[in-house]
Order: sequence, then structure tokens, then C-alpha cells
Amino acid sequence: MTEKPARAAVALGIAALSMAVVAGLPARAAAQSDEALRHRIEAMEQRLDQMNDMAKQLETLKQELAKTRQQETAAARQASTDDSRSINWHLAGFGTADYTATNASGENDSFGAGGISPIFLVGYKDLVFWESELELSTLTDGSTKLELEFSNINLLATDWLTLTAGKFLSPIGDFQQHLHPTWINKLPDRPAGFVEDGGNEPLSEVGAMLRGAFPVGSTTFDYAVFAGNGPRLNDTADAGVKMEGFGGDDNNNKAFGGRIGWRPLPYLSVGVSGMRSKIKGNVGSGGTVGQSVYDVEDIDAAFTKGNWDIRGEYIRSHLDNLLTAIDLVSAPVQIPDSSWHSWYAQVAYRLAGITDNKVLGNFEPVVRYSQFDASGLADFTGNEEKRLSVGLDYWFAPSLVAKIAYENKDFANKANEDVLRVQMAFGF
Amino acid sequence: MKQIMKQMKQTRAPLVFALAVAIAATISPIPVAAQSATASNDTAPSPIQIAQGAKAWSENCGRCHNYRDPKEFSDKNWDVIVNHMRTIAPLPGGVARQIKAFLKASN
Repeated sequence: MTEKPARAAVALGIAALSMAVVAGLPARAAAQSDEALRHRIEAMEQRLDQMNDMAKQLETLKQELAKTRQQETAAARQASTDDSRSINWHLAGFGTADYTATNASGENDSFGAGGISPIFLVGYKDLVFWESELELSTLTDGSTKLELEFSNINLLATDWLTLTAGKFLSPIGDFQQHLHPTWINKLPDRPAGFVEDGGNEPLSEVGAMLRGAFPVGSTTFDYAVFAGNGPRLNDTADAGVKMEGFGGDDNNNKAFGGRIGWRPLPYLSVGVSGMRSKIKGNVGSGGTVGQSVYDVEDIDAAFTKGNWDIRGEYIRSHLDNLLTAIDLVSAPVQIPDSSWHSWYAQVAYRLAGITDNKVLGNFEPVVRYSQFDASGLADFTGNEEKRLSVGLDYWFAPSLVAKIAYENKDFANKANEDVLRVQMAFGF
Repeated sequence: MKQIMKQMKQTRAPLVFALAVAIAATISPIPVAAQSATASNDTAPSPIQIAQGAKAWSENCGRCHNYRDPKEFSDKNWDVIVNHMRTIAPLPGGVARQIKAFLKASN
């Protein structure tokens, strides 16, 4: 019977505890809900702050993107403008530095001042083209020489016709027109007779010219026809006829000439060219002077296959008897019919054809024989010469070359000379 | 009379030259304006034209000097340089355009 009171007490305790628990639950639940809500609110505030930051960053990015797009648009517009520009130009040309050692009487071994020949090329679409070359060099007395080698405008009229006007390289022959720049010429010097003074190669002309090229079957023909102010007699007779374009005509007799070239094969070309003009005698100390016909004929040929470069050219010129002063202080006298002949033959071979060695392959041995003869007035024969040139080139790049060459100059009317030439040339 | 004839001959020469220019311009197969359109730089060259240009480049550009690397100059430079070579080499206009196409595709 004692178990009943104990059970009752336990039951009562349980009941009391249950009531207490039940009575306390709502309060605890409310407290926990507030805490959770606070946490959620704090979390949401943090996320809101983060979102605000992100929005700011997004706005910044948008602004940067817009700025970048603007720059890209401007660059694209500029590029588009560049592509469609009607007038384009380019500065080309070549520079030269050299050293010459000679046993010629009265001459010293010398460094040559670095000469430069800038060429300005300006084109308007594919219609008009302007080209001008200056030639700057330092003379032995330290002064600077500036010459206008050529300056002409070209109308590219059709695929096979170009109209040229101004001062242009003479189309007579091949050497002056195509090979004389020092980065192209395989030897440091020009061939005997192919010079400005004392030789007979036409260098340039002031006038108008038609020229072009056209295919015939698998071959190509090229041509040039020109009219110009023509050549003049040099002030001193030993220098012969001067054929470097004059800015005016001294005798109202224009020179006419041209060239026809044929390329039967891509590596073979031949050309014939000529010019007819009249030359006025020099007045000298005074008196009547005459005018006489002066003709030039030229034949050229080139074989350029693989590593071989073989070429040659022959020029003949003739002046009818002429009443002229021999120099600036003499009275005019009748000089006899006079003729000049100059020619050269040249062989070069790039060693890349026989070796895979890159250094050895850049060497190119060159041999050239050239000769200049004159007849008629004795003064004209002073530069008669037979010249053998042997050289070795090293090509650092297609247009950068170092040359060394030995020349034996066998003169008809003065002591022979041996000359060693070293030259660096750069075409750009 | 002989002197007069001589003077006429002298004055005739420039006229003959001018006449030759006029005739040449007149009988040209492609008038200047038409050539301008065909020579436009805006049209992209076809692969065939580029291949023809490579052949023309190999056949013409080594006749006087070493072959220049296409990468030496920009497209615009090549436009001017090849026109220079077109006049002085000289090259037919079509060949010059093929060479330009090759050089621009290779630089």
C-alpha cells in the first residue's frame, strides 16, 4: 500500500513538470524566432550591401566597356580611313659608304663620305605616281653636293601605257636605268665609259616619255619613247658630251629616242635603244658656232637564272664634225667626226647554289670586263680604258651588301692604275 | 625655201610626239577610269590572283636586284613601291597588280 502514495507523487511531479514545460514553450519559441529573424535581417543587409557594391562595380565596368567600345570604334574608323586613303607615299632610296686604295699618281687612299640618295614615291590610287630622287654626297673639299637625279610624274593610263613627264632616268640601255644604285650594282664602281663625264652613257633626260610593257604569248615586250631637251657638249672637250638632263634647251632641237625590250623567257631579256639629237658648239672666247647631229645606239642583254647573273651592254655614240670651242677660253674651231664606244660584260654567281652553309651561301663573286674607246678629236680619247674588275660581295640581307673589289685600269694615254675598293651599300 | 622646210621639220617633231601621245591614249584598250575601277584596292584578291602574283614575283623581281622579303613593307608601302617598279621595270599593269596581291598576302 505504500507504493500508491509514491506513484501519486511521481505522477504529480510529472504533471507539474509538464505544465511548467507547456507553460514555458511559447516564450522560448518567441525568443528563438526573434534571434533567427535578426540573423536573417543582418544577413539580408549584408547581401544588400554586397549587391550595392556589385551594382557599383557593374556600373564601373559598364562605363569602362563603353569607353573601350568608343576607342575600338575610333580605331576601326581610323583603320578604315587608312585603308581607303587615296594618296600614299613611301621613302625609298639607298646609302653608300666606301674606301678606295689606289696607286694612281697624285691620288691618296681615301674613305668616301657616306652618300645617300633618298627617293620620294607618292601615288594617287593606281592612277598617278610621282617619283623624285635626290643625291647627297660630300666632296673632297668638304662641301656637300646635292643633285636631283630624277623627278617626274607618271600617269598610269592603261595596263600597258604610262605617260611620264619631268626629269627621268634615260631609258637608253639597261645599266643606268636599272642597275646603277649601289645596292643593286654588284661592283663598287660603274663600268668604264658608263659615267657622267668622259663617257658616253646617257644618264637622264628632261622631257616627256611614253613607256610600258605588254605580253605577247608567253613573252613580254617593253618599250619607251621620249622627247627631251637633249645633251650638250661639256665645257672642256676631254669630258665629251654631257647627257644628264638639262632644265632647258640651248638649241631648240629636241632629242628623240627610245628603247624596245623583249623577254622571251622570264630569265632572259634583250633590248635595243637609241637617241638622235643635235648638239650646239661651245662659244668659248666668242665667235660663230655650229650644230651637229649626235646619235647614240645601245644594245643590252641579261641572263638571270637561279644564282647566275650574267649581263652586258654596248653603247656607241657619234658626233658629226662641229664648229665649237674646245674649252671656255678658246675660239671655235672645226672638230672632226668623233665616235665613242663603251661596253661591259659581267658574270656573278651566288654561292647559295652550291652550298647549304648560310654564311658561305651569302657570298657572291663577280667578274666584269669593260672598255671605253673614242676616236676623232684627240681630246676625246683621253679616257680610253680597258678595265678588269674582280670582286666579292657578302649579302647580309637582300638589300644590304658589303663589297670588296680589285680593278686593273689599263689606260691608252696615261699610266695604268690598280685600285682596291671596299663598299657598304644599303637599299631601303 | 630649204631653210623654211628645215624650220618646219624642227617644229613638226614635237607635234608628232604629241600626236603619238594622243593616239596612244585614244587606242588604249582600258580607259583610265575603267582601270581605276579594276585596280581598286578595296577588293580582296582571289587565291588564284595571289598564286599568279607569286609566279610573277619570282619571274620579274629578281631580274635586276635580289628578291625583297614581302614582310619588309606594309600593304600601303607595297602599293607605292610596286607602282614605281611598274613604271621603271617596266611591268604590265595586270602583272603589277598580281605582284601586289602576292606581297600583301605574304607580309
